[in-house]
Amino acid sequence: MSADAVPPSAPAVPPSAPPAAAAEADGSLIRAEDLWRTYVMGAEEIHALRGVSFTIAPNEYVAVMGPSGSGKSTLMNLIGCLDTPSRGRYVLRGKVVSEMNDNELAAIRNREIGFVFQTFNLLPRATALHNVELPLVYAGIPKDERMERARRALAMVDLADRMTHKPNELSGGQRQRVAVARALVMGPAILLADEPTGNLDTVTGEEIMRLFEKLHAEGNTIILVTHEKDVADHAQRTIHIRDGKIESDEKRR
Amino acid sequence: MRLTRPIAARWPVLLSMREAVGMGLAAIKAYKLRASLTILGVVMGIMTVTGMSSIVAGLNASMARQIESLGSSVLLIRPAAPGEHISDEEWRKRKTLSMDEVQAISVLPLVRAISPMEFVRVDLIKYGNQKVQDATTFATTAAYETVHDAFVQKGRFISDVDVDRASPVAVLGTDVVDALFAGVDPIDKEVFLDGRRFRVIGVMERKGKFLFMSRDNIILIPRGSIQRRDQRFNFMIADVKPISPAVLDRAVDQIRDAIRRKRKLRYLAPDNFAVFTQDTLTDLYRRITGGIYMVMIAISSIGLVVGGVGVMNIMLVSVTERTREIGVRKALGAKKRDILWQFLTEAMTLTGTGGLLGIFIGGGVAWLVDRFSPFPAVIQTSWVMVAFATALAVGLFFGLWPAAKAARLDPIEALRYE
Repeated sequence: MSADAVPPSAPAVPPSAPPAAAAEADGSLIRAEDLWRTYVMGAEEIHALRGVSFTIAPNEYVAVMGPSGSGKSTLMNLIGCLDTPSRGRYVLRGKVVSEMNDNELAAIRNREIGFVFQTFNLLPRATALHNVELPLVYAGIPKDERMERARRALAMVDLADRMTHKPNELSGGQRQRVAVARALVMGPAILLADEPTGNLDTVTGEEIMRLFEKLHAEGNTIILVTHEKDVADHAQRTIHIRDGKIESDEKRR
Repeated sequence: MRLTRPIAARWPVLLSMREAVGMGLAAIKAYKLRASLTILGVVMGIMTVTGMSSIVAGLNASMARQIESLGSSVLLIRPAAPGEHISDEEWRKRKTLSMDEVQAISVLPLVRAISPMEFVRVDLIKYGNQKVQDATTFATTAAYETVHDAFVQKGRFISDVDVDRASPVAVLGTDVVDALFAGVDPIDKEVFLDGRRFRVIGVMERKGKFLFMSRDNIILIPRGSIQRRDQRFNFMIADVKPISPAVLDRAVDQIRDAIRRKRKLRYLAPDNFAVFTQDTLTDLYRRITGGIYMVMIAISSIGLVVGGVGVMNIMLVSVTERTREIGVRKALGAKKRDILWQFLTEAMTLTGTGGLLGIFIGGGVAWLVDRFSPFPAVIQTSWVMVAFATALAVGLFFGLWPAAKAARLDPIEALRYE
């Protein structure tokens, strides 16, 4: 087994604290330089991303939009450290992710990325508390501290009274809030949400978007992947992707 | 589970072990029938190991005690050694020991005493109206007591004078006494051996059982006190006590030489008799139990392999069903080895549960055998531990492929899996 990317003695970031300041010289949290992602299908090469560059500063609220097949999902996988680019450089909080191996990627996902999925992706047999505890397990944090931090994260999304409930005992909105608590529990650099309201009705969806706004106001950096204009409008900045390239990058407010 | 941070960070899996064990148990609960059928093979295999090792160990212990009680340093002279394969033709050629040969052995320097025993066929033993039919009668000499460390508890043993005169006296084993003399002192009473009158002069100490046969159902009479009409039916064996246990092996050689000389066997001709020690019996017994162990290992191996393949199957299904979960775990920071250990732990939980069940059932069987059958059974902690370790090893081995499959999954594809 290879060594972890981060030494075990590294101090853990408490979940409620805003992410630490970026290490990059220009103050960016994320720096993507000419990202290419090429899939080889038999003899054919398919370029899902064709040279994407952008930077995201700490505490930005960014929506990534684009039709299906645009390379939006591929970009999300790269930002989420689930995949590495075929070409180009991706730096997250001063760490060059594009050169990492599987284990280092797992460690960086654990510490720096908080995933929120369209389908919630909670473990069905585990309680809310246990679901939120999971990233802390993989970070190797002792039981008592795990419990404490998972409770605090659940309290942050107003689910302090639902800790021992299993996903099937919770409403859709509550499930997504558990997922948000799970995403935040490690104090990640970014909260990466993929169509977070896609499986929710409008009212509940609005409730989740308000939660995101609150988290943004508290200092979290949020990247929202969506194809819905209404949802993207909550963000301060929208990056449009088409045919593997950035079509537009607009900031508002 | 409390671990210091450095260990915990290096092996987060140790922290999630309980979670994985719980997940394995949850899988058993969720798929009761499938899981129980799956681990049935493991249960059978482990049950076999636990049960049979207990029974064999019990036999071993009682056997060792019994062989020891025969007298630790006695040499046996018989027509053939136990476990020796002899053709019918060869059997006919074997001659029984003669008094002449006994005489020759008794004067050997390494021999302290020799007790010739002539098997005398007596069909009916009577005292008044009481009868005994199944007792064994031996015609022997005064040396019997010395050689076998067997003494009278009452009265006296056969003396040299009794042998010289071929006196009609008898020493009885306790089984015979119990059968003939209920509440009567047998000393100086007259018993009839196939109509011949014998006076009881002594009662032997109780010796207990050997190989489930009583050694107290005997009658000892002086040599020559019953004359055979046909000498061909004489059947004499002898037990020898050497001057010290240390010279046992050399005494065997001396006795062999003496008998060969008496029988004028040629240089390369094989012995037509056998001289052996208790060790031969022990070795023979070891061979038998060795065979039992082989059978035990064979049966349990089949069970364990069948169970193992079942576990592999259930784990493969489980990995496929939970592809998405694996993707989520990887997205949350699970490394390959975390996923690997999770599924290995789950497989080992399955087989470990089977193992525990097998140990309980096997232990129960051993207890029942010990309680309700003549076989003694002692549950062997070492074998129980080996059995449990084997069950875990089966889980580890057969869980490896499914677990590796899970660990290798690409998180992106796993997350997209419907």
